[in-house]
Amino acid sequence: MSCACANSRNRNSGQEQLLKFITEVGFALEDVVLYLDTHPCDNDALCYYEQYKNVRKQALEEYTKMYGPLCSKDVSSKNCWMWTQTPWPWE
Amino acid sequence: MWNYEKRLEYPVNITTPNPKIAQLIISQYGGPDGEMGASMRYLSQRYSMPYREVAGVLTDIGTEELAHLEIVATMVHQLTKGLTPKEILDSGFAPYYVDHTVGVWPQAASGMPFSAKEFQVTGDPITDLAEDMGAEQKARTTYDNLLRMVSDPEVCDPLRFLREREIVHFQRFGEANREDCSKIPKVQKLD
Repeated sequence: MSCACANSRNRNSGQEQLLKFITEVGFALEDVVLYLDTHPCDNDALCYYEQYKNVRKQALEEYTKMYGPLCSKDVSSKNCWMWTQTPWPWE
Repeated sequence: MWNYEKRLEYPVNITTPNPKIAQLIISQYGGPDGEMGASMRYLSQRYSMPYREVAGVLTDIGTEELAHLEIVATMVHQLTKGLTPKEILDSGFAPYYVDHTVGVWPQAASGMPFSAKEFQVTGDPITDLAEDMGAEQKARTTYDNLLRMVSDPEVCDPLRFLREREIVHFQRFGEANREDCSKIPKVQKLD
């Protein structure tokens, strides 16, 4: 692989930390979504959802900008297709 | 449609391979109460579900089960990394290895391949939800059985997360059953 972005396969500690944060806020959101499915009028849960939705969105944007895309529709690299070069979750 | 995020729902970092344990954990990939059956059961039951809220629960839990499938596969993958032929023979992993090398294939711990016979789609909301609640408890039992036999904390940690999710899903299906299926109009009695 001659592409420069192939170097992005090893995660550094800042990247690990941000990914951990995304996992945490992502989980908070996944859990409250299930709760809201059966408690659609719970105002506290709706506020919690709003709050974590925004935190997650910001963290995902920051991660994508610094370390590459977590979603195939967020690839921004112009010279090289980054999507397949960042680590797979099982690596 | 679905969107993929290139990360696990819960992190898995197993540093010590253990093919013996991999052969047990693979049951939660393609076994009778594994994550493959769970995701296919809930996602398939949606089309005949007459209640919007319950279709939502089935969609969102079915989607989370796909994330669990990826967690279990990652565990099996990391537990079978870099094995020597001697380790493969000594651990009893050889019969699996000869058919699949170290690829992750959906089967039960017993070697039985994954089958749609492991779940139902009856088209009856009460019957399907009762099956779903049972399925969550069966999966929880399987995680309990695994946790009794596994001592590596790097393996136990994601297993505990997955076990806990079965309990949350059981709770949500119970709520869906109570809130929505009670809306079914009563059958009119004959005079």
